[in-house]
Amino acid sequence: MTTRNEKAEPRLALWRRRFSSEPRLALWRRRFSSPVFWQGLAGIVTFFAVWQVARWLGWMVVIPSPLELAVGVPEEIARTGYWQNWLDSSRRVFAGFAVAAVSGIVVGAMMGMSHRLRASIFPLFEVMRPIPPLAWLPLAILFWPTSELTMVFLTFIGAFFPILLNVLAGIDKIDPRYTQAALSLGSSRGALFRRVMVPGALPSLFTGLTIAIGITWEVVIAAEMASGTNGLGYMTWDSYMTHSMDGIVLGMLSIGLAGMASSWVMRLIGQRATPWRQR
Amino acid sequence: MSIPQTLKSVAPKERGLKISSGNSSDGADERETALIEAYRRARRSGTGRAERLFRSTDLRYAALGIICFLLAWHLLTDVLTIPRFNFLPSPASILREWTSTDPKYGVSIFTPIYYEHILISIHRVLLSFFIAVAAGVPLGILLGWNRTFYNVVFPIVELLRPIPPLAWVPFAVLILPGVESSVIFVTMLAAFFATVLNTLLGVWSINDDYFRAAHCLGYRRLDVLIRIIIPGAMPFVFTGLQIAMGVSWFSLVGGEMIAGRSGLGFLIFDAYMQVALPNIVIGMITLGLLGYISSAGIRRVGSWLMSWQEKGRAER
Repeated sequence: MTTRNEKAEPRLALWRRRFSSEPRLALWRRRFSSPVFWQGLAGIVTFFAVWQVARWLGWMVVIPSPLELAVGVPEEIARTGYWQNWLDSSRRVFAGFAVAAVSGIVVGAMMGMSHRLRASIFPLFEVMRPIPPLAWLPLAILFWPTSELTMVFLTFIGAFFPILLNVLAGIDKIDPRYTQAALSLGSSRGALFRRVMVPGALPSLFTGLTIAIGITWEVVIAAEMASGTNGLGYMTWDSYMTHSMDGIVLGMLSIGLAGMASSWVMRLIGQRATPWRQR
Repeated sequence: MSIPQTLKSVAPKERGLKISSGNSSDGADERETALIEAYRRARRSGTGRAERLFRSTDLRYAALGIICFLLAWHLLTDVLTIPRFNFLPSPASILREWTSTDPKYGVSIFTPIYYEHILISIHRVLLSFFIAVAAGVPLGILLGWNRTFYNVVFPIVELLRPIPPLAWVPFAVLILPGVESSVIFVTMLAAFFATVLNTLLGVWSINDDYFRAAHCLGYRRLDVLIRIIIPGAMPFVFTGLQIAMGVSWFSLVGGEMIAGRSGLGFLIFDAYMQVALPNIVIGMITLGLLGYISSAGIRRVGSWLMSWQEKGRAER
């Protein structure tokens, strides 16, 4: 029955429904009873099985097999300082992201309200935007007094542009009829901002924030690898230096998990903040 | 007749109207038609375009913004020498170094080494971009085309996708022979996932009516693939390619900085190590230019290939 329902729906809507707030229990029951779940499981099991068999056949000399990892990775987690690395990286990501979000929103809103400001600043940003965030690393090391500030600055650079661009896109996307209607009904500039601009740009803003938080994790990892002394990225790099494959894999898993979790949280906040936007 | 061709015959008119009348839907009156004509004429003639650009106030504002930025940079680094800012290279010194025939730190537009780094980076990006596209687009189309294939394979993609490309660097360096292949692998990864995901979304975004029509008209599966899925997914694929190009440059710099022995990322990091400050900024600007040119190129190709489509999508 569930499969028939799925077929009737447009597939894009189905994809979006994955993030809806259906009752958890019903969701899980539906999942277990559908072939989709079992097929997915089969896929993942096959993936690990092929990996394991390849190791047994001696094709992969360096990469440990899933079974070896299942033993080795918990040992790595039990090491002292593992959870501290999580804290360190999260703190950097959060600091850079928060600064980028605040400044991106403020600058974006100002540029959205004033055409003159936008015309004079936007080209400058367009020039700087294609420079990859990591290319800022040496200058940032030179400029900022501590390595901590360097890494926060890099995450800021990584997050700022997507947020700003999406705020602007959100403001541009607002139907001019809304603005015209508000103006002809005699709304003030402040009311226009609060009642039209903010709700109109919010969905796009949250798209930007979700993209940005993913990028901050990528940037912070690289920054820690290049100039850090702690954090998840440094942990991965350190494991590479000591040739600990378990540590490298654990680092990759942790980083992936961290990025995924923060994007998920961001999306959840976005849904709560824009309840009028169903699907 | 396939669907895109039918669209092609409708699109230009609609686009012409859209440009002039904005969002008001009350049709074009005489004045508006005249405006459209004038606009089209201006667009067609190259001199008109250049003239409009130079006359526009936007350009003046843009110049103002950039000049203010350069001036502030110059003041902070060369004139006032505020603590911490004096560690940064000044715009004058960069320009001098960049255009000098005998550069102090060995890199300028007259030295072959500069172009060597550029060529190496471009070569790496293009190679990994093409590998990513050649593998990613077919995989994305298969995922969107076949439900069972999607159910089995997509969880694996989702398992690997959240790991940022740069977290693969140590792994890649250990398992792959040589620095070159690991840098290319890392550069390819991010582009690959962006391509797969956007192609998949592109296939899903196709209106189901097209599939129903195709079934009614007795299309074989292969025809559905060639006539509907591939052209229908194209706009999303090109969005994906643009994102892929962006992330390739991003991870290329990371890969070259951490593991490379050549290329622009290495140039920047090496300049930092040897305290050759202007070279850092020269590398950054070059990277920015190359990144911009490559994504503009893809946008051009995309809008040329999809002239039947009303408007492209772009995020990020």
